[in-house]
Amino acid sequence: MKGLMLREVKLARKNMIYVFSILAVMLLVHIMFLLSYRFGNLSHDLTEEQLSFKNSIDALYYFELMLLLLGSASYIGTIFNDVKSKWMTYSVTLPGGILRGVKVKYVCVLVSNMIAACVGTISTLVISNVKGEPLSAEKWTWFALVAAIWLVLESITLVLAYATGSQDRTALIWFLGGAVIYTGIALFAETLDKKPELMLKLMKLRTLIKDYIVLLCLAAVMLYALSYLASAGIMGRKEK
Amino acid sequence: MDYENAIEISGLVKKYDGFTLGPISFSLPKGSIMGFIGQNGAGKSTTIRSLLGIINYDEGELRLLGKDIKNDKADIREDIAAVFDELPFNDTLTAASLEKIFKGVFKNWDSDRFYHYLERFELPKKKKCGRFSKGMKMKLQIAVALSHKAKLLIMDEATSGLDPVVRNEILDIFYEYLKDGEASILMSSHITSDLDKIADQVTFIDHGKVFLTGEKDLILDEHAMIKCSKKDYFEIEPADFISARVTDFGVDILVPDRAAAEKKYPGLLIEKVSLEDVMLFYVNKDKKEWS
Repeated sequence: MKGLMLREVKLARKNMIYVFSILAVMLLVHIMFLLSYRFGNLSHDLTEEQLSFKNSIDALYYFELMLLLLGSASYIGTIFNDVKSKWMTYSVTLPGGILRGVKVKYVCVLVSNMIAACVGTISTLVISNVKGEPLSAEKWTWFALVAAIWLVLESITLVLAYATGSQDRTALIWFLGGAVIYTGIALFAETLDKKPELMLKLMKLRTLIKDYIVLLCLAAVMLYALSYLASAGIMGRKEK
Repeated sequence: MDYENAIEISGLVKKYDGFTLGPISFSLPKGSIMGFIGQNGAGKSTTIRSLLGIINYDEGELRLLGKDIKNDKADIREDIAAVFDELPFNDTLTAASLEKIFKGVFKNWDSDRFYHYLERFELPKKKKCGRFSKGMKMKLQIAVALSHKAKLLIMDEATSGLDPVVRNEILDIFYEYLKDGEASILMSSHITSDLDKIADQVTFIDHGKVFLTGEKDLILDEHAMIKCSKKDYFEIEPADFISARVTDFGVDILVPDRAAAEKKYPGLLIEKVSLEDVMLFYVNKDKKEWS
């Protein structure tokens, strides 16, 4: 298992270095702006334009989070290369067979997510310190929610990748699924405008998420475990 | 491990839409090298992929190193090495990184042996294997296969596409690998000259069916080629030969029983055959007469 994990790390290393380098640059830019807003020339009364820019800079935080999570996607991307390079076929002949390879992939994605969560936590703490604003519980909740949603997306993508073995088909399924979800959200937003009472319900949902965030995260982890079992089942039966 | 045959295939059947492999049966005695011969699409790869568990077969019993590949829980993959016609390692990896990877995959991995093969094959350690030539890629695959002390090496068309010098070099390595009498090799190929040189067992397959299997020397000794004129050809009973190649210069006739042919047709020129002759004449068995 050690050798296969090393292989995964070697293959995803380049992408991970890119991701962390871009993240470091973004974080640096972010911190410089925040310092300027706190202690520098932008620390005085801001014009409307400057305020709007400050909000945009704050939004950088979410890009940084997304970037971190994208890093773990590097491991999923190697599945398609493994099919193309016939590694998938070859790994059947190695000790532990194909199932060991699937297990290693899931472990690597999970470990990568954990690293992303750690780096995310550290950068969140750094940013809040630079801003001089204590971190609200709400921010942690959304942070955890993003991580849980990402884990769900990865769980689905991993199964799709193993089932299809094709990047194009996986992307097409995501595109179609995404289109359906987007249409659903757009229709819901339209209804929301017409029915204000729905907005109240949505606010309740927000409170529910905050109350049950731990359970939601656990459910995401459960789904990840189920995704592993499904992928192992698929690869156990599939002819390579 | 105590076993008589490194490979035992009994009644293997694999059905595809438009092609059925088998039922086929043959065995590879421990310590020997078997040439698995057949034209493209004959079923060689399907057999090998069934053996390696890459595809699910429909019927039959397959044993590797004395163990049933479906029911035996013991992992025999530590003792097996597979070599394919294409390099299955990612193009961005180097030989040095493959060494580190496989050290963590195989319990019996021998790094010194791997580096010895790299030196012997003149393979660079730090160059990405995607930049290797076809011959280098194959050598790298063989270096990996031979570095974990596997007892059975299964090769699927691994030497096809290589130049004769590289093929010869690889065949020499195989001789050394077989020296201790513990290791065995199954080597599928349609390049019969390689197998003429190295194999001590051969199995011929065509249209999904094994038509001949056994010791190479015995098969080559038993079979013979009658070279005669068209007039003499009509004197030979069809039941006595496999098939006949008719050309402008005369007729070549493959007979399965050399001794009987010599006795029955004493006036005709009877020559030795090669594995290629056996394959060609058996493949055209149904036509009986071809050119």
